[in-house]
Amino acid sequence: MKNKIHFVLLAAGAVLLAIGVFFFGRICAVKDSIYADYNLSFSDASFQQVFINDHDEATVKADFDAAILAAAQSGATTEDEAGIEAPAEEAPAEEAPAEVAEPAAEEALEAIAEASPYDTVIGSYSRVSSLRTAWKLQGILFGAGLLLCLAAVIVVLRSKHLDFAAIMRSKITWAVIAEILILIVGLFIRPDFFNISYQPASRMLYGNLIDIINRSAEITIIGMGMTLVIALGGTDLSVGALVAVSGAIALKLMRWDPTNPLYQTPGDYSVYPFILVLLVPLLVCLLMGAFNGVLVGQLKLQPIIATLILMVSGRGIAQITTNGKQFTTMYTPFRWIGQGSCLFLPTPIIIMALVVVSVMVFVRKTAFGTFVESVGINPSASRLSGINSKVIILIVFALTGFLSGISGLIYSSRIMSNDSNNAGLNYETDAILSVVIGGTSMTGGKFSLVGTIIGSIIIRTIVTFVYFFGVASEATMAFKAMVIAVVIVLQSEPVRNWMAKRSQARAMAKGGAVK
Amino acid sequence: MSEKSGKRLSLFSRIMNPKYIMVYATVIIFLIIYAYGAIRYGSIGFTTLRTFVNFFTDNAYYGISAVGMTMVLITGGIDLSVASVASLTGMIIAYGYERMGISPVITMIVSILIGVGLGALMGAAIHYLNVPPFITTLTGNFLARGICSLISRESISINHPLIDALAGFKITLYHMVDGEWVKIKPITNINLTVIIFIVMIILGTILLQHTRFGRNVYAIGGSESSAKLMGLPVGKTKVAVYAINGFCSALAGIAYVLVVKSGWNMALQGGELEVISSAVIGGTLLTGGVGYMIGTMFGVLLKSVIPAIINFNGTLSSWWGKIATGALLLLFIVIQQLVVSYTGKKKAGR
Repeated sequence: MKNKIHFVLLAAGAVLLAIGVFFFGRICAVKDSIYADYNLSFSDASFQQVFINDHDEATVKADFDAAILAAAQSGATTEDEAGIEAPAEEAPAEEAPAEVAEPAAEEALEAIAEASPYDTVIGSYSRVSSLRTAWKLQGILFGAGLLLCLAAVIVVLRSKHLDFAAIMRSKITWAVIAEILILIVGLFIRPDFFNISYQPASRMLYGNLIDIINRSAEITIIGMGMTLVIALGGTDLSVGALVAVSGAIALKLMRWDPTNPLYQTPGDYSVYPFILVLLVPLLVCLLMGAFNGVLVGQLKLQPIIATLILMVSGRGIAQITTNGKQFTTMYTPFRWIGQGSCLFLPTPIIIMALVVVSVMVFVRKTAFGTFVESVGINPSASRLSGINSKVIILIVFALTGFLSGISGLIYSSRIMSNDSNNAGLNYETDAILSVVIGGTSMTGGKFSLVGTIIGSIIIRTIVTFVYFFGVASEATMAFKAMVIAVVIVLQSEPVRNWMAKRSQARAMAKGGAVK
Repeated sequence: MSEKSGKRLSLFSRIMNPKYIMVYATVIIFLIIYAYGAIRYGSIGFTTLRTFVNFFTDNAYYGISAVGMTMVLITGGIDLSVASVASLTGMIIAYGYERMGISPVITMIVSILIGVGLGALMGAAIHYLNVPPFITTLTGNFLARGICSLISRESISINHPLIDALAGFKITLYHMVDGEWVKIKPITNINLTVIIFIVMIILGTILLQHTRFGRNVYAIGGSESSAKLMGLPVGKTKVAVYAINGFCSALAGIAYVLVVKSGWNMALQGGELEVISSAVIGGTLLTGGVGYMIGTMFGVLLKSVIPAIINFNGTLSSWWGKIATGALLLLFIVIQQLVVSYTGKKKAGR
């Protein structure tokens, strides 16, 4: 029975998710039919305002008319085929489409004046309420399905030795349980937290779940390197500063023209070839990471203080790279890194997946991971057994620097600018926390890359949650601290041993009763 | 060695004890940088007493916090929560008086109690739950900063006579000219924050060097398991050290309030690393067991003298200060490493 339970959980979760997808399709269809009826497209926020929030019929009608009017006046409603095909091209040339849109907007306004669009487009209130029910059900189904699948993951992770005590002792279990608890709370308060919708304009899926993974990309990417650093028994405090350096160099290469030193309005161009814009920051970050590696490996400095050097001076270097300027750009290929879509998902998710897979292959399919663990557990013993710990340390720190560079490119592409003061602020602490929540011990040794991903998702879930419920952004830290405190206490050795002992005792008592 | 044990060592050999070598390195580098400034910018007032006193005034709140941090580092721990606890202190004082009408005296006492309580709690988590200090205090940092933001997200200025009086309190230095006491020109004032800073350094030195508690702190830093085997109260000492550090951070917060006369949720962001790097530059080893208050004081002074030189130069970007601090840090830890490996070899040789 015990070894079947994950199949049951997984199957139930999959069924719920499938029904959720059906409702997702239904909502998309209704949305599309509304848009097609009237040749318009709402923003996600106003769609939610009209169809999803709990209102009576009159309010819905008024809201709908107001939304149409607002959309028509802003000129964004008449997104014909061309507009949907190439949304990015609209941005650089702001003047032209506005003029084109004006007559169309006028038409729409006239149409609105003729008849209440609510009657023509929606027809009846029942259509709205069915949509609303579908929306709510979709949230509940997605949420519940996801939770069941996560529960199955816990079981599968431990399926090799389905021993309850071992599950209780595993740190990843606690991390996943924490994530599940947060999501359950969300499911009870606001089921629509889990909703996912499709935006044809940017050709990607939207929703809080997608957003959590999307926004956790930077920390997860850095976390891959940080896990290895922590497995060596060190920490890397410089990653946040390297994020700033990477962004500063990339923006400087795109915007800084030696032949034309004047600062011009940003446009859709890059001074240097795009490949250089990508490679130079990554190379510089790799070298800075290697610098850390030399300090730690060759000079045998304490990692925390060795990387503090670059943490303190890194932001200074970033500022001096751009002469304290904040460059902005509109360069489309660069925008794609952080804001574009790939396979119907935001690009950062795809980049993150690529990084995670390649690091996992590098670490687990070669002996490298074992070397790292060995150096982390006992450096002198591993030296005696012929492992060149200096090279291992150098590679790990250089890799972390390189990954921070990737993260920096994503961050600066999200804001399309460089911000030496705030880029990557507190990334080092977030990355270290996700590694620790993921179950890798700060004392070094065994590590878990999967745990780090879960840790980084937990951190981002808390942040997204707090945003979703409209709490001030700085105050997220308090919630973060509380959740992390609970996870850390649950994961701490005395507590885990106590739990494992208790469950073992209970299992023994049960076994005795059966006999 | 045995013949020496009964006899008091001569002053010279006591001063030249190799265990002070890091402190001397700090002092010498401070003097070199000061001498450089004196030669380059002596004509525009770098050598005046006022500039010198300002080295203390500029970073007094970091210095107060660094006193507690030095003890934490000597036990082999680390505390990343100091800056946000200081910020929380400022917020409590500002919000308490401006929005709730509570006298600053009460809020100061309350915030010091909060600092001590949070410190003791973190110390207990570190020792009894065996959570790494880095993670525990990072959580404390998030908690304090988050509570700060929950209280208020905007800067609240404080207009209270007591705060004004404390902030305005200063001792003007006089000197004797022709048998008459005259104010030193340019007028040199010693603020209350500087007095607190120096008093805390002296108290910290006494606590570390001349009490049983201080010896326990060094013993724990040297080797925690040995200290435990010797029967020293490891748990109590560690909790006490973190509580003292919480006290110092709250006091630093009060000193910061006296400087800016306001409370802000994002005040002193990144200050914990300033404090840690001051202590490290002052010769405290992050591995624990080594460190002196006087070194920490010079570490804080070094952190003030570099911006001062950049100020006097007038053309350099202030960002060079960050890079110079980084370079200085590199220099110090390389020296430390050389000293440690040298003494280690010497010990092994014996």
